Amino acid sequence: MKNENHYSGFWTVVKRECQILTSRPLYLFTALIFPLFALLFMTTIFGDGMINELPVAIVDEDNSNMSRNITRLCSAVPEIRVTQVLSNTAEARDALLSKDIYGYLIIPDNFESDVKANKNTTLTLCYHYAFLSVGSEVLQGFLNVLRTIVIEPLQQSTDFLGVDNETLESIVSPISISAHPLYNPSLNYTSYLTFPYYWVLFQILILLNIAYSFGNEFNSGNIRDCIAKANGKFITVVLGKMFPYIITFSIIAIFANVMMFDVLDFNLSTNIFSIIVICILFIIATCSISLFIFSIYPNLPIIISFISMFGSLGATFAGVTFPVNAMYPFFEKLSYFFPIRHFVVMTDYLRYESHAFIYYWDHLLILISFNILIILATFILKRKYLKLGIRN
Amino acid sequence: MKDLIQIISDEIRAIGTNIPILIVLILGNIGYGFLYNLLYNTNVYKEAPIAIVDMSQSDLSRHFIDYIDATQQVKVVVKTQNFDEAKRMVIEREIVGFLYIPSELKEEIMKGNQAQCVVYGSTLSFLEYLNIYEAVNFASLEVNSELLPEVIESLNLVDILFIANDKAVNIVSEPLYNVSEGYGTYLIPPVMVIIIFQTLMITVAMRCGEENTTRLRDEMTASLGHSAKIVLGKAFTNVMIYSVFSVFFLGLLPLIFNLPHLGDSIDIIIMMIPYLFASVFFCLTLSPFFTDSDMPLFIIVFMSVPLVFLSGISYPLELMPWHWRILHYLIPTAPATLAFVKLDCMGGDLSNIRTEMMILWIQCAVYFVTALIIRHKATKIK
Repeated sequence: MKNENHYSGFWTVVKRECQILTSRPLYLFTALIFPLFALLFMTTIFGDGMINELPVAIVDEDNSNMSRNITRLCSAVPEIRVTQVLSNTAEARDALLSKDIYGYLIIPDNFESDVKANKNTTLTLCYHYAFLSVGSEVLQGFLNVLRTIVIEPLQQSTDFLGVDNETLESIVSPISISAHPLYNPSLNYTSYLTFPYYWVLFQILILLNIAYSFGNEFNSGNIRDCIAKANGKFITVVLGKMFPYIITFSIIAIFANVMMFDVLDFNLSTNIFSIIVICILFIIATCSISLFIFSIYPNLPIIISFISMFGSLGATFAGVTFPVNAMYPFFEKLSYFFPIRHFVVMTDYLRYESHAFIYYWDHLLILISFNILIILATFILKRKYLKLGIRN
Repeated sequence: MKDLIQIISDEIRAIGTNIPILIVLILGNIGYGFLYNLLYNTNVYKEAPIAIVDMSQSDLSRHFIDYIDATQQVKVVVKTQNFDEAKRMVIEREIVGFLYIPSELKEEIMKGNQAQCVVYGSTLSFLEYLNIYEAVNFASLEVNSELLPEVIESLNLVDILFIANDKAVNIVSEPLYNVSEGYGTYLIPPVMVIIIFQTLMITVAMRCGEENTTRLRDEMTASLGHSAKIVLGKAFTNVMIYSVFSVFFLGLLPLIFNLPHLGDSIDIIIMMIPYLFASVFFCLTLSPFFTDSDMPLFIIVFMSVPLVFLSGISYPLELMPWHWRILHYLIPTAPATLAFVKLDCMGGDLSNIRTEMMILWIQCAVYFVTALIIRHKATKIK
């Protein structure tokens, strides 16, 4: 009989929460439209994901056959595209400041004659490093061209000695480096950022939705009605209120994973079911930490500002762009309190390694441990509610 | 004019007595500003742990490894002959990658052939991959130039020994506008501009939400002129408040944390005027969506990461699909971020940010009109 009461109380709270969720179009946006917008944004923002054909300039102070040849060669590599041939560095700086180009190569005056006379001469390549990702692509593009250009003048001097191009290249660069990027061979930005950043955005919404839902109850005083519907059981209130959110977010998570791994064909080394399970565990853990933060100081406007900050920091502590171990040790330790950190580590394994459970079980354990916070938050909220009740 | 001054003083009083808004203004701005700077204060990712699979075990390979280890980008933590062990270490995240040196390194080189070394780098973070790739390439260039005379002599090609002494073409690479080549110095300046936009939006939106819920709006008047005064009054109040925070974010923090600070202060002020006004008008235009004082946070915080992408700082704008590029022109923070980077990180002047200034002033005008219409309609309804 007691169990039956508990059971019916739970479903009454769930029904009540569903009614609240459907009562204002606002909730439709925060719990459904925004997560789907995030999916659309993150899957399409990077275009094809390749940083190619970046506009660059050649500052051709020499205007010789050799300098024109260099210009032609620079246009042939995929990373860069020569859009301007300029006569001085000042023009190049202006073009750079106007964002018309992302880098330039200076071919100095008398370049061809110096090369032919075996005099020392210098090619200077300047790349835009205020835009880090773009700058490094421009650098790579130019270096790929210049490796061959360096040999070219030497070839003219060694031709008559019967030294062929291949031998010359071996002599000049006896150690050759070939790159083998693991996990993302084409260094594609969509493969790199879309999945983790979609979840960074989603966790902000999960955190805010849960805090907002509980905050509204406490702010408006409707919590009494909710507790009555839960037959006086505080844990039933907490679970009943969170349940519709967890179900909604889980459905979105399933849809997002199917879109990314089945429709868009993102790399996935394990089956889609495993990653969906981890996503659902992450949703529950994020709900738990949001509830816990709220329970510490259940004042909606203030705590929701703090939770916003917590959510935004997830983008940093996920460690996707700047590794957390490159930060101060304190921040590295702090990142462990963010479910997104563990989620990213685990999903990296699931996306790129099969049978990797042995490597991420500790993160899984931590993620599951976040659920203890539900019990703790329930206890804290109940005490605060009773205190308030006595005072009132 | 008297009305406008009254509206401004009312607005200041309303903001000054609203604890949540004050928390966002003072703690939010100062906390965010310091925290983000501290998070990225290490700036450059140094000493990324790597392994070397040295199958050669020669003096040449050891010399090559010493060069790699001497770079600031990586630290060689393991030298092994076991490829699988290095692979396992990558999987266990003990290292960010490894270099494979073939067994016949020296022999191949002395025969006049190229020896292929392979960099296996993790791309889970592109910075990690860049570190190992750059360190190995740099070291190979150094070792190659040292090897040149030896290789030529071993091949008995002394006739071309001159190429070892005559470096016909030198290549000098020069990273512009981010001399330290750091991640913090690249990311933080634009993030500061975005934080200003976010907290300004939150402040304005919380006030709108508060007005929507408590119906504090002036219900007596519905004249267009009065609505215009309210819109302008709110704008002036917030711009005044945020002028102080702008000095904190864009003037003080760059000094404290050694961020690039090449811009002329007057140019930055001229750029910030349309940016702050456009941001307030933009937010007032969206005010019907702020049905209560907490709701704005959903939209604004949720947009934090997309705003970084839409500014074109982390991914080139021209490679984004056209529909997202349109959004870049609609939200004030995107052109303002770009303009600020041009001024303060690249040392440009107003002539270099003409396009961004034009966009910001157009946004100012358009969003003022839309904010006025929204405000006027709202008072009329009431």
